[in-house]
Amino acid sequence: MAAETENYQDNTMDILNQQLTNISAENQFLTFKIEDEEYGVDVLKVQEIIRYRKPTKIPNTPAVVKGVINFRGEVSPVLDMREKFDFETRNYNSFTVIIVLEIQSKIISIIVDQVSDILSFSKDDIQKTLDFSSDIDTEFIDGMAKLDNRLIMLLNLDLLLSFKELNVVSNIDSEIIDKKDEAVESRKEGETSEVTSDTSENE
Amino acid sequence: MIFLEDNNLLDTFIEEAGEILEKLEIDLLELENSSENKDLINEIFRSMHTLKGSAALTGLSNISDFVHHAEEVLDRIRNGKMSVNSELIELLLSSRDLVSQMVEGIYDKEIQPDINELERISRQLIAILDEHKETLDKDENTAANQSGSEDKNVQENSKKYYRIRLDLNSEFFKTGTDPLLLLKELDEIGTILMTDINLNKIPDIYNLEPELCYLYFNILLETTAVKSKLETIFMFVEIDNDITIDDLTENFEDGMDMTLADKKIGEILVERGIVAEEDIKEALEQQDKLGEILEKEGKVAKSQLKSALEDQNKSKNRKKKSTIKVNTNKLELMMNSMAELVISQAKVRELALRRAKDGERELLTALESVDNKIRSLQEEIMNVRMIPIGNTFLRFRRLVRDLARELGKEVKLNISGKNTELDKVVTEKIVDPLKHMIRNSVDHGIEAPEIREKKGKPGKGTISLNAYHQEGNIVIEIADDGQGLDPETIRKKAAVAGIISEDKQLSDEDVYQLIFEPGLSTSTEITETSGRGVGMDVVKTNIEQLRGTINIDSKKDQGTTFTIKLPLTLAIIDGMTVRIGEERYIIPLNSILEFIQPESGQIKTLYDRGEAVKVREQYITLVRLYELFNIEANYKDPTEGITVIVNNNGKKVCLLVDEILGQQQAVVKSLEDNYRYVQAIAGATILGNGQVAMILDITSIIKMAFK
Repeated sequence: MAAETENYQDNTMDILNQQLTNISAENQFLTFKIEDEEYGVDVLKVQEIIRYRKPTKIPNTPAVVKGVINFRGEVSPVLDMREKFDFETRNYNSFTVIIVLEIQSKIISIIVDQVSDILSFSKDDIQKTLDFSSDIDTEFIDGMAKLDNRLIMLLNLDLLLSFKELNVVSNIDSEIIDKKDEAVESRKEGETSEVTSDTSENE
Repeated sequence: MIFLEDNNLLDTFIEEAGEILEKLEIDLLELENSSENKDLINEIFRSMHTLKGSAALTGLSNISDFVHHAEEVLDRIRNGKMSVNSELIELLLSSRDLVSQMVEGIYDKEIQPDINELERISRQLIAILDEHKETLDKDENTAANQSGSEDKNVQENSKKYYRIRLDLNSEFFKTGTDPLLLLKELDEIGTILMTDINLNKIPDIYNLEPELCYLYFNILLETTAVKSKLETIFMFVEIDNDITIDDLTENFEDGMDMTLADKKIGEILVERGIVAEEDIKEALEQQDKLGEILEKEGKVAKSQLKSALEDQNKSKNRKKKSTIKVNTNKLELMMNSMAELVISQAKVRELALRRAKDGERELLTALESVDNKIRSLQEEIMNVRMIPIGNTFLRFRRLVRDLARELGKEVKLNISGKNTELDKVVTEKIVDPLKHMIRNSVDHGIEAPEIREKKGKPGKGTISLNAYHQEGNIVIEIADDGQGLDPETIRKKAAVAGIISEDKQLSDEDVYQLIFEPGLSTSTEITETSGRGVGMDVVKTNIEQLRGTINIDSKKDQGTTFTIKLPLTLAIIDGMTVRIGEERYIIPLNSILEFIQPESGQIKTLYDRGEAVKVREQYITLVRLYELFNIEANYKDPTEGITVIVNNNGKKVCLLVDEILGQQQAVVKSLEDNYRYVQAIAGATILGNGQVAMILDITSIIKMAFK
């Protein structure tokens, strides 16, 4: 029985990975489960789905960061979504997967309970305003999509994985961190200003 | 598409301008010392001219218009019509700075040169030109009056002859230019004595592409115009096409080229574009070589001939040394692939070793040779990233010069070890710390001339920059012959700032190290240069982030020497792999002193100082890494595990680990790329089994231990 479920899981992961390589359209979402709720992320940001493997621990790091893994030579931090959304921790099992994402040119991975589907939603399917109470902080949610009986919460990855809350400054190196953040910040500003000037010239 | 191309053009210009501006600065400073150096003046003129041309081509008319005046001034200097003085150099330097700001301002809208300053400099340059023109005109007028006739005479005398070769790109027509127009323009400024049109490249009619240009031209021009005027005609086509303008004036007598006599007929034909060089070569190859003929006739021995030819080839090859520009991103990618290869290779080796029990010697030998090749490839790739530190050093000349003037001091900057190479990334990151230290040396180190003379030293102070390699590190020295550090003052300040207690006993060396503490400024007053909020503590932090160290040596009234030691590269580290519980860590080899397994008698708990291990009459603080990192360890008793004694800047600690696994080279990956800075961690690396291991930052761990 156990072997069967494992096989089943392997297939979903492989099929989805196969699909991922052929995807180009917008408004497609990779959906996954945490606890009993279903979430979706933009497939264009998904690099690969890999089976759970134990990350290397990073010392003195918030509990949500389980460590780092080697993904195609990149050292990618792994965040546990159960921890992030304040669900109780439970043991990883054969359904547990790591979704490797590229967010603002950083390779960041998340641990989720189970992957489900790749789904397309038209703009009309997506409800932007949220008028319900959710188990998780709604600031990370871009919108909600309905499909038959399923409710899928679409995550804003940029906000979710910004590491903002991780920058707890409490040590002698705080100065360095501050400077680095400033540098990153200013670089980002530079980038955006470039982008805007690009578009204006294109027009 | 067009937009993209424009951007490419702009990027190319920015890159080119950056190089030119850097060179201009160095050259202009050099000109201060040798104002009569003709080559240098020519070089500076060429830089300005290229700058103007490229800016115009890129459509940056504000830059080209501004540079125009400076170029004109330089042109006059070049032609000996004006002389160089310090005021002029100052003006040219300011122009350079403004252009540099304009170039930076192309992308960064916040950096824009001061309009008033731009106008002021422009006006000054124009004023110099006008003033000069008046005197020039006067001279010419008097000369003309004396000879009785007007301009004509002058013109007659300054007739010049140029040979212009237009080797046009086959895509020439597609850019919308017409070679005929260029010829017409030439005709307007002089008389075309001869035109040869080379038809060799025209293919037979079946292969002829009507849109391509197959011609090249060889023109002999008689004119009174100067060469730069000719160059401006070709300014817009010189980039893609091969255009050479040779001044033949001195070879000409009565309109006849006198050098033709010395040339081989083949050379003349090629020069005139009548036949292609290949054709001549082909024809020549049908002849016997000179050496062979001589040998046949018994005039030279074969060995003599051979050695002469070898020498000739050697010198030819030396000349062929050329360079290529590569985007650093490409290099980064190459480095990454290389790192991957090293990791995969380690994996293969692990598998092979497991199998090798069956006696597969051949596999192991083959593997070893792969190993060696990968290692040498790795070294070569690392070498590509190495650049000489010279240019970085030369940049400081300006800094020293400007600062010394501002402070009313006289300072000479001596530079040696310019060719010492180090990693590009390290070079970029060391600039700011060096700049700060040199600033400090000029500001606080070197005394004012009067004071220096009172002390019996020459009024002009000296700062020496030196770089050399030592045991896989690069050493950079910054030495001044100034007043030196005063240990007493530093000690007092540190006590006041609460960094040390009043009665603490410290050696002078230890006291000097205190200037790296945050919140300690050795200068009694805050000047513009030293009061910028960056202190020596930041310098030290920056150097430590490069895994480097800094030491100070100072003698009162003789000067101070800072010695910075840096690894040649940040990309690879020699490390010792250790295990704590299930985790593996890499400790940089250069910080490891020794391993010991302490006996129970050696462990002491010191009052309010934590634990220490007594090693040869010395107590060394014990750091239990599993506690520091909050992880599970096999051994909590130091006598069961093993301790690694590490050292940084004379401070030592004992790190408790479970097991030493072995030495390995680790490719350093930054955690900050995808995550952020983590205290006590210098980076990560990927082990042979594909797992990630953390590389320990010993400096940071020692800091944590002593807190």
